[in-house]
Amino acid sequence: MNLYLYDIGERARKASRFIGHVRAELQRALVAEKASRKLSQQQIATMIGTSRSVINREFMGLENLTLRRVAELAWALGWEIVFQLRKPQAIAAPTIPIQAPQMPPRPANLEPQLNAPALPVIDFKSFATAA
Amino acid sequence: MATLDILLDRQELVRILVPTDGEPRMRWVYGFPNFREWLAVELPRLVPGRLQAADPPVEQVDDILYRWITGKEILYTRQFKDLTPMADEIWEMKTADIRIFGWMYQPRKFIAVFGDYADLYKGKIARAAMKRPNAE
Repeated sequence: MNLYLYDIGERARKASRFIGHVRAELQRALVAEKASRKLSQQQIATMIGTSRSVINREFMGLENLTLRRVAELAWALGWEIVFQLRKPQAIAAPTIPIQAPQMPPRPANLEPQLNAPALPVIDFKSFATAA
Repeated sequence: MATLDILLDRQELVRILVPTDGEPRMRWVYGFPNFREWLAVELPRLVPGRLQAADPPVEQVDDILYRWITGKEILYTRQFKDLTPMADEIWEMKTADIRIFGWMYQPRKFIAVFGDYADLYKGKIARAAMKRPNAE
């Protein structure tokens, strides 16, 4: 099969995907809060003490967010952050095979060499605000 | 033999993969040879555009392809649009600086025709650059 593997390198990949994950979580939380209580980017900007355009750039992924800023945005959204580092998992999750080749039978003593390093976990959770 | 397989065998399409570090692949991306060329040669040279995004275009594209392929939530809201349906069955995959235009062959199979700086295509449908494959 005709394949092309787009690989930017492990270091860049790990960093950019973590940043993308944080951004996606922030966007998801904002979408949820806008739907539930009409929270706007302007309101978030006012709470944090900056301009709406800055908040918009931050949610659009145009800015390098500091850890403090991530925490402030989560606070303004009314969500909490769950952050965890963990060792990579020993066995990879099964993937949809690209193409199953014809393989000879495996020797009985061959151990799997699968390795699936996991991203640090960051989840944003909504907590109920007191009325 | 399915149309897509025929086109892959003829090398009129190429399947685009990104390393998923063990995460299962839930969706597919295919590209025209020109798109593959753009990924390999042009994209690494691109710098952040007018919006001065913090992440370089290469990382933006890796992230959107990774999220698509591994089945992550693809946003389509008033505020955030990762993938937008447009006229003439064209779909637009978006990052801060990049637009990738293509078709949704089936619900989880995106065929990328070409990509470039977002600023060149905002508000326009690049119909002139889109040509359908001649599948038999």
